[in-house]
Amino acid sequence: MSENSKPVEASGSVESEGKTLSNKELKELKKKEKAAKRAAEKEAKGISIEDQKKIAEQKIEKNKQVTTNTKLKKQLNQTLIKVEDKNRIPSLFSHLETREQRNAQSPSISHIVHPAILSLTLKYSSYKIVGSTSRLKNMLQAFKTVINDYKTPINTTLTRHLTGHLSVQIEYLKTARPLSVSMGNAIRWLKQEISHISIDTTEIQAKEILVSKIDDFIKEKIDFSDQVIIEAASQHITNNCTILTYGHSQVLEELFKYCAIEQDKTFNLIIVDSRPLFEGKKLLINLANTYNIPESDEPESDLESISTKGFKQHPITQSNLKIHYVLLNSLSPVILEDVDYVFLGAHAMLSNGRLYARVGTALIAMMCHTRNIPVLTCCESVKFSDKVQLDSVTTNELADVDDLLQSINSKKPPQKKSFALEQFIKQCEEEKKAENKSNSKNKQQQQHQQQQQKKSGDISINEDLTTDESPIKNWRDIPNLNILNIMYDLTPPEYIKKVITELGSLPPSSVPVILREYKNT
Amino acid sequence: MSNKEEAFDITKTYLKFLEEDHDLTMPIAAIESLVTMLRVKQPSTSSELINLVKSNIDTLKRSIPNAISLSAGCDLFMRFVLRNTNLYRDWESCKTNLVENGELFVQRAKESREKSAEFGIPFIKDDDTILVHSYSRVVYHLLLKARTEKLIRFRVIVTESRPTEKGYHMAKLLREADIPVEVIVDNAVGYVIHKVDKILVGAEGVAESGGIINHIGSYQIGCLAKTNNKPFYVVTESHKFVRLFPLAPNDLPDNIAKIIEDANSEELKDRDHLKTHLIDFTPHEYITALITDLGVLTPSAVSEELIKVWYD
Repeated sequence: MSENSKPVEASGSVESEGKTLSNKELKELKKKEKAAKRAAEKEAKGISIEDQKKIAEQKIEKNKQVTTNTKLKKQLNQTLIKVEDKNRIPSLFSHLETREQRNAQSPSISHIVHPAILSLTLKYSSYKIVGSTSRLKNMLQAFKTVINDYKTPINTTLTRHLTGHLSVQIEYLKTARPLSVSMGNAIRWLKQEISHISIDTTEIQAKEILVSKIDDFIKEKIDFSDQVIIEAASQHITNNCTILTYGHSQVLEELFKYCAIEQDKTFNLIIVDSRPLFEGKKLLINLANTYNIPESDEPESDLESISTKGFKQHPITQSNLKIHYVLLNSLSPVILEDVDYVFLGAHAMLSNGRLYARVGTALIAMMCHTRNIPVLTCCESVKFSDKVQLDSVTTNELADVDDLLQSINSKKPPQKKSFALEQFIKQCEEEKKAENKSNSKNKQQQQHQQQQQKKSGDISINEDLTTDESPIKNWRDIPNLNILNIMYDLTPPEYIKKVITELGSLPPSSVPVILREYKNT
Repeated sequence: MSNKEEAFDITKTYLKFLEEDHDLTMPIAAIESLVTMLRVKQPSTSSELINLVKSNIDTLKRSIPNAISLSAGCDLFMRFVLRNTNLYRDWESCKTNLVENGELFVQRAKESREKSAEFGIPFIKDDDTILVHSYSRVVYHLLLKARTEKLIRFRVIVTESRPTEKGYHMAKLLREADIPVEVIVDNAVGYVIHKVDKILVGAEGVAESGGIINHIGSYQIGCLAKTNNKPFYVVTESHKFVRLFPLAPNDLPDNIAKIIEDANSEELKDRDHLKTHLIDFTPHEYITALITDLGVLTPSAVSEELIKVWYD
């Protein structure tokens, strides 16, 4: 409010007290006036001021009781955390939740979170587990342990209580990174399965049912689906063709291995990669560590069999696969020159046919579309979402800004107060200490080293930044500097020729069909 | 095996069906010959039945060149068999049902052309100029129906459709039905397109994306139609939907992409060696709508129908 408008707005009684009152004072004055009015009214009705106070106190206490009784989830939602202004995000993306906001939400519930979920959350947040499929798989595995260790409290039934128990775990899991679409779909499915269990089944039976159902889900929706997709997609990879891919996708990795090993095809592969996650490196390493021996898939088992049986083996990168590794910025027409197909992974397929995937995907799809290179995407039907999104701004995931400034490998676990985790770590440390003490003296040196390591591990992110010779290490102190690190982008359906799912290949316009059919089953 | 069973040859039966009835399309002939095969062979177990159908389909697909719409019919029948064998517990009733339903299936498939034509009639208006590519039974059926039953007056431009020159056959049939026809060379499509109101083509097969596999030249007409904003309609039957997904006009499986090695006409034969393909693929973005016996579909609805058939 400007100075000029104040005398106009102020009521007659206030005017007499002078024009020096600020807006705040004005408001308070009005409040007091109102309260006095109300008290007068009540007094007129025959209630004394003391009685009124008592009633008010009772009311407050009642409210307090209610909050202690409400579910943890609700409490969580209410805890709004003020993020320091230091973490600036461009206003266009300010509606997205930052990592700090997510982290700050967890402390009140961490003591009832299962250790499996705790460790999973850590792995998510440090990008040790990354990619929609592996995140989903690991989450379901963790849920299996949670369900196995679960005991129904007295006076409740498993059907009713387990869902809430899982919700708490999921709530905690969300603090690492928002749930992926596939995880959301799986959780919805699991909760439905829990509710379908009849009350008469014993706890042990119910647990067994659920665990086996989760196993079936993993097999059916991920493993077998991937096989079907790979078979369908492999027809496009012919001898001496050139395939371009971006980042890392579980199903695509399997596809390239399948074509090279099982089908013995020789082809060129261009892996395009980008900062800060460098997922393409993961694909590159995994492919380079795959050996060409018939009837064995895993590289580890290969190595063993070689040492024992003396097989002559070469990595598939030597015999079948020629790999070029480039960064996204070098995706020039020179590289696109003779690419036959582009295979893209997916985070989600939206119901309007748009592909929601790792940031950079849309750029590649657009480049390849203009050069008339068919863009194909391999996507399991768990990743289909009935959401409609027209741009990648409305919903997206904000990753840590510091990921852009420093190497992702030096990433520390999030700084947050997690009671259970701290206790767990303390316990571990004590055990270690006890162990070390019992050991002989010459191990003292090692202990010293360990402590040193621990110390260095304790250095916070900010301190770590100072060791990094980054020109913008103190970017938080630079006014008007925003750094944005988003995870996903949206590729319009015109750029995508074909979506390969386990239900068949479709144009992106037919995604809603799958959603309809999928939901019916 | 008795002599009678050995004597049965699926390819011959198929060709005989096609010979006997010129109006019969390839998928229906295939289904009909498979039903006949079941009646003759009398398999005794369900696995024998499935193997029998499978092996016969394989022989049929191998022996017939240009097996695109043929394979659509075969796949549909295979699916039909697989679903029905699980439906009945009693083997005898299953078998009889299969044969009976198979015949019903054939009957329905035959009627689908009539239905497609029915759905297509509202698209033809008085004083229209319609461009037609090559010869298609269902397009002919539709035009004939519009002229004789609804008494709509329209002109038709037919492309010559080299190298098969089936366009002349189409023009002859239409002229007999008292429809004004003009035959143009394939190169002249661009020349006439601005005078044309709509384009009707048939299809050998409809791919999963809603694109069509048809007589060569359909793709370029589709491109011209799109740039000139002319509606490009495909008239077809739903049993021609195939589980194929080509990505480019030449991206067709080798056994389907038929090639004529020496396609030159007699007088030019010694001048140069002319090699041509017979079918091409028109992607879905060039197609305005598909007029089928299931109704008028957008290209994206094709995959919906296919998914419904295969996953329910």
